Amino acid sequence: MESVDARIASAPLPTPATVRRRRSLPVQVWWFALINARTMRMVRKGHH
Amino acid sequence: MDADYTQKPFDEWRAADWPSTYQSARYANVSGVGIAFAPPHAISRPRSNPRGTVIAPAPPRTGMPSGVMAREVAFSIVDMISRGASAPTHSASMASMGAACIASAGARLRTGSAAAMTMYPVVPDLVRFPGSGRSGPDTYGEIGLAAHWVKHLLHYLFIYKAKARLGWQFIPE
Repeated sequence: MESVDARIASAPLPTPATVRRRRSLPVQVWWFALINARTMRMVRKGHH
Repeated sequence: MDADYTQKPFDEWRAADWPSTYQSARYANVSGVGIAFAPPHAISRPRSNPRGTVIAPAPPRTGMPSGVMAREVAFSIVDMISRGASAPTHSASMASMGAACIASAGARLRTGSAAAMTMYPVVPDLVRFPGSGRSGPDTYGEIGLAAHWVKHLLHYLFIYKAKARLGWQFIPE
């Protein structure tokens, strides 16, 4: 049976491009606005 | 609570099984929200791993869903006390509410990270959303710095709201 360490070592990791996107200020400022907008839409849907 | 607790297989689970007013079926002046009510069944199909270990996640009833439930039950109680309503006037079924969640994965405003996710509805409703039971545009996840900023912001907002500071009513659940 594969050890835990081996399974962790073979787990998929984000590509360098994905990591850059997750840390890019312009991209993340846009996502910040989008996350807040989507969350507020969720809040409005929960009002009965 | 006002739920359908009939034992039934997964294929017969329905969104309507879940409670909506959270009023006790036995005592009209008792309500249970969040983890105080017994779920009629799980949300996801129970599964098991190759070794036979059961994987059956418990329905999440904390955080945003419990806040929404508590608010609606509070409104119902107000109506029942001050306006003489004979039954709850507000509802908040988990099959008609969404939830947002943020899991932190690193601190610092410039190098932090978190996973932000929303789900609507919390309990899948195959009648309204055939196939997955959930709204595609409202069910998503994203990992990154922005989610960490949102988590940071929420920390301040929720403490501000808990302290009932000026304008706390405008901070949503």
